[in-house]
Amino acid sequence: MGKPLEFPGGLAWAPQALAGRARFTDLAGEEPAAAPEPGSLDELLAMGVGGDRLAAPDVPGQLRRAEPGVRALVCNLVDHEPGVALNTLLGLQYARELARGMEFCARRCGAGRVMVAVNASAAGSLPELLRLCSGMRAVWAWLPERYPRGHASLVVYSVLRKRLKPGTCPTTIGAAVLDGAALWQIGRALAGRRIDRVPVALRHAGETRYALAPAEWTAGKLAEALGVATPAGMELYRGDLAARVPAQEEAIGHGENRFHLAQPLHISPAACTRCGWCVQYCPTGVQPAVLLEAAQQQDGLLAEQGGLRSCIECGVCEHVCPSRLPLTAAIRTLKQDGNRRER
Amino acid sequence: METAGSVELSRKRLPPSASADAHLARYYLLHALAAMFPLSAGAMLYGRRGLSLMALLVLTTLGCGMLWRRIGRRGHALRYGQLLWWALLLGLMLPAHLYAWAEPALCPEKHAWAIVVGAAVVLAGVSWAAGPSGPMRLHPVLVTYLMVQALFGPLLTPRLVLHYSHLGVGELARAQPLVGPAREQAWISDRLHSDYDAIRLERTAAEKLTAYTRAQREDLRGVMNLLDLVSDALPSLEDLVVGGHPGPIGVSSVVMVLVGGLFLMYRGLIDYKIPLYCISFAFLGVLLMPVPVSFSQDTVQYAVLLTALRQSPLEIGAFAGYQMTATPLVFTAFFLASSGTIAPINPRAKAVFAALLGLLAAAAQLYVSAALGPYLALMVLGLCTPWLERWWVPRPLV
Repeated sequence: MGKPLEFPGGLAWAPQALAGRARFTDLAGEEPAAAPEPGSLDELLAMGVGGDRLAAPDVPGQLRRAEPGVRALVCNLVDHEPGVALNTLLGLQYARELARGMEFCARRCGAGRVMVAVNASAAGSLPELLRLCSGMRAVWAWLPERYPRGHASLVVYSVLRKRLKPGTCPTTIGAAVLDGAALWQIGRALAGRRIDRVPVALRHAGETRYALAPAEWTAGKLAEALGVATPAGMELYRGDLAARVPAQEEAIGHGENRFHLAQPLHISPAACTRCGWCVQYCPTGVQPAVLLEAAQQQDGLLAEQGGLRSCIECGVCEHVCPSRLPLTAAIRTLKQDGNRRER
Repeated sequence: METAGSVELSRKRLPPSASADAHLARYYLLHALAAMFPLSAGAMLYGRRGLSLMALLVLTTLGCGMLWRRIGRRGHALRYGQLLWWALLLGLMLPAHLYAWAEPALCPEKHAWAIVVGAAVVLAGVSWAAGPSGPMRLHPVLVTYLMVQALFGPLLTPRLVLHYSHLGVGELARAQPLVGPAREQAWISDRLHSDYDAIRLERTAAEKLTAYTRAQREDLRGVMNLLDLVSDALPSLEDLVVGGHPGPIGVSSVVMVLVGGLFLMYRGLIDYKIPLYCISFAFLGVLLMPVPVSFSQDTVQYAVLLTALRQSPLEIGAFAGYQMTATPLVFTAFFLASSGTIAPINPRAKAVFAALLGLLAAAAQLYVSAALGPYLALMVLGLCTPWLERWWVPRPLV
């Protein structure tokens, strides 16, 4: 594979050890009766493997399209949000399930290569997983901690040296990208368990709680079950930094599985000072200031020039902006307008 | 409030805060800190006059800003932090002798201080008129300065600087006129009469350079070639680097301008590409553009200095050095050209912008005016920024 490619920009952060003996709290209750082991990807999909996450877009769609064969299976176990080590904890506590999931997918997808992307700081935390995967001849990519490294497009760029436009299925470039949650669900299915729960993380007041929650729950119900009260002035979001999307009523089964309880960001749009920090820190080389101008002028051509289609909505631009401009919101609006026009 | 986990920005960056106003205020405060370096040199070299001029300019600008903020939607976009930074920049570009009231020893104009007040009023107005910084390609400081220069040009030429023995405490009005070869008028010289605190020069280094490169022989007596210019007519390079040669308050000490610029780079407030490429290409431009190398009775011989570099490396190197230090090139590169209001926002366009600026500044210094060349070049190139941004679009990663 060679050394993983670095992307420009992004935000470095100091790795933090998993607090104490963090473990998943099982909120889904008793295990239902065993299910027959799936023999094919179709049977697996029928069991309800879900998820459309930034780390693994449209998991069912990928698995469906991967049946004829992909060239590479990328297991995205990167945790790119500081303090939220969901994939690392999955690798630590459920190494067997993850390894089984990887092995099954690699075989069924006909992938010639298996790449496993993990945080460099997690190297010492996953001996069991390393041992179980040794027979697969998987290539391990130890990536330094940098937000938003865990995004599927940036993982594909780092380990496969290919460009994957955000929102497109990885199978279009001959790859399948599955994250820890998807691999865990597949591994459980292979062990005869039903796919009725999702591994999630909820961060609040500097502390992260991990849980296995029923797939049909909302984020609000998850917080309630974990005993996390929502104080006045705070909301549940998916996504850290400025890429927050209100997620109180969001279903956790088929979407993001990392939630944050935080105050709304204070957006007081001053004039753009053209400091250029948004361009400098953007991990994908987009020009957020130009996109904001395009949103203000409703100029689709300017938006294309600014790199609208390559924006992964990580929120780094909004985080570093000294004027606290609503860049992410503007970009989302532009994308929605663009989608509406295309329809 | 929980902020972004424990994401650490580079320690040079401002930490995130809840309020945009506080964030912006700190952003501009850091810029103002960078201006303190050339300002402190100005305070030493021009004494209370320099500081008083800065104070008058800054306070008047902020006062006018308070009024302009009440006018229309554009008024709301004006920020005091931004006005402060721009007022500091303008003050650094003005000569200290303007802070004078009926003092012919300093300035023939009786109410020279009114020029400073007028400049402040114009700066606040231009800042308001330019609107939010987004689409603006004209730097308000540059527009204001050139306007003042157009109206009061001869009054703005600096001729006074405190002698090193009276740094910071001397009175600029008590100046001893120096006559004789420039090299004997070195700032560090101990030839100042006890009745005087400052020195006065009839012709500055920038004026002499302009007269030479424009082949204005009547203004350069006794200078027959490049060697005469750099060895006799011009002051020592050390004077220009340290600041012992009359100039604008914040521009005359090149070393302190450099320190201020490096501070801006260290704090991540400006991109290193712009000053680096600008100064490098300006240096190259001086070597590549034809300049007079000798004067005979009726003719002027021009040559490209790069071709003669091997024969006379010291002379040519010194000439290029004078072009860098006797002009506001370094100040323009670090403090004006790197501003987001005038430079492109994407890295490729920035590099092209800086290179073109260097070449254009070299041409303007050589063939128009050494004292104004970089400003004129920046003004022209700023207007081209939208096209540069359109032609050099970076390719996204994904």
